Amino acid sequence: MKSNNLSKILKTSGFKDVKLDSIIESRHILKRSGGNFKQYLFSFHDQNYKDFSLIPDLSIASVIKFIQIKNKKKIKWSYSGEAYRKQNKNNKSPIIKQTGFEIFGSNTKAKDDKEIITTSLKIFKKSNFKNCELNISNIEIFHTLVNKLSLPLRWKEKIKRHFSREIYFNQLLKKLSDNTDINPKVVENDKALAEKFRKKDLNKNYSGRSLKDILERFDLKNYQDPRNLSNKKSVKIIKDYLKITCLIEKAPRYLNNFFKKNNLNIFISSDYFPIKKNNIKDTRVYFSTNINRSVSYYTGMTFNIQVKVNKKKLIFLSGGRFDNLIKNLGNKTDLPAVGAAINRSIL
Amino acid sequence: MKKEIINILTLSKGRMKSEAERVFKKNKLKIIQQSERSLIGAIKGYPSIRVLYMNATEIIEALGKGIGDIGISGKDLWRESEPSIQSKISLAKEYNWGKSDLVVAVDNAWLDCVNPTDLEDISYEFYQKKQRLMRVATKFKNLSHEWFNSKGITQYETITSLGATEGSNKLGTSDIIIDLSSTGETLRQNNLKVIDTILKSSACLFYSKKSLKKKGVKKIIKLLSKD
Repeated sequence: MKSNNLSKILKTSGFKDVKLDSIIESRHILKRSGGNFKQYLFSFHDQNYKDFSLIPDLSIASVIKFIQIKNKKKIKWSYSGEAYRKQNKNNKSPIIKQTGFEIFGSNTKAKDDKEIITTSLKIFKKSNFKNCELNISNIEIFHTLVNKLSLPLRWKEKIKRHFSREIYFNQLLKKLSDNTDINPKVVENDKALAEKFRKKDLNKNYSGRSLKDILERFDLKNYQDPRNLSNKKSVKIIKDYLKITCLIEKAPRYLNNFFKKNNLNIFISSDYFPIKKNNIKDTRVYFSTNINRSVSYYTGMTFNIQVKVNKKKLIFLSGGRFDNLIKNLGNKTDLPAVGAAINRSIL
Repeated sequence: MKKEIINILTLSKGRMKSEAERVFKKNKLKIIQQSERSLIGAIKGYPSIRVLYMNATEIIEALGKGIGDIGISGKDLWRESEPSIQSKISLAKEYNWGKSDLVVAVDNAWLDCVNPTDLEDISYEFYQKKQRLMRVATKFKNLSHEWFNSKGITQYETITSLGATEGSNKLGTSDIIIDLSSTGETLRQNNLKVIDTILKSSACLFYSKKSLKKKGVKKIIKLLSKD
């Protein structure tokens, strides 16, 4: 499939082509995008010591461009270009050719989510691949599940925050279920010490933190909201949830049964799923809880199109909803958005 | 195999210098220097060997660039070096001296911080309450980034500290430190406690991978590996 064909599909689907800058101020990525990109950045500074980086991901560059034009209305645009990331494997090129398309100001969520998915399928149909699998998930369902579990609040936040970092996420679950990182002797010593500290000036700063903040967090951790034995059960529910894969038509019933079985007061209606039929022409559609884990900014629906190359499943295209990213990257207000990107090397 | 000069790089200063010289002596490799301050030496009975005295960080860089063939330096410095340098060097032997731990240390008063999981929460507290990133004083930026990444901590910035790092929290330049500690005494004196150990380091014998082609290099590595 040629780039021209890809542009044509996007143009006829109403996506306006925009040109993105190749460099970006590093702070946009380092401070707000979750730091995942930190290790991959090609960074440098100008004569005024302002730090810049080559764009590691075009979606972020696209959002920054959108913020710069100060548009508040719904807008559909597409971009094509190169992203640059340091690779840890010798044979992998640092240049990633990406094409993406996005709907900013996407207030009609269900409609826009469906549009992004159907445009993705149109692109697939024009490619050289014959068969694919469409997988759909929704991070909101995962967040709702975590919120309903019996876990300390700070751990709920931690689990949601690190969903995109699979290795660390699993380490967190392990810690939560076995509590091996807690030394009861140290805890008792610290409790005694805390009593002494309470008599001191609470506004005094210790390495950047006030004693008041230190003791507040200490009390929260040790008295008000401590880890307990029921955490193990919650961890099992999370792990079981992340194994769920079924045909999309069955998803609401399957999920509701799962939540009922685990005594969780959650009801999932079919509105959560932009595609409701198991087949779109000859494409099978699945609900799968464990997809697109590596992207930290997705907030709702996520999806991918998988193809088989030499019996291996590869991601042809992936995307999702990112309702918080625009504000996180510097916009004054939240503006919902949904989009998808294709790594052109697969074409 | 070509007969070429073999450059052995060894430490130029301090207690580590005498320990390194002890390894040479123990293995009957007598270093001859024109004067005590001379930075180039030879080894008695080995006319093709040259001994160069260098700073520990420079030794790693010189091995990576193929300037030296064999060298003694710290494991911490090797692991901290850039991947392009690190990948060109192999570790032959970890000695039982020059030991120290690269540790993450926080203020003793941070009673709520006993492990990296706590530190992650605290890094968010800095961002929410002070609208800034948590500051980390260290000279080991690469190892620090690697550690933060493995612990899921993203809300931090590193401040370069080339000396007296333990004091930087008190000076207000940092909130936590990542530094080497051998006995823990300096940390204690500066009201700091260790919440994690990133690396257990010691003096090591390294060689440049390229240099294995040189005649005699393997033999010297074998000799210096005995301690």
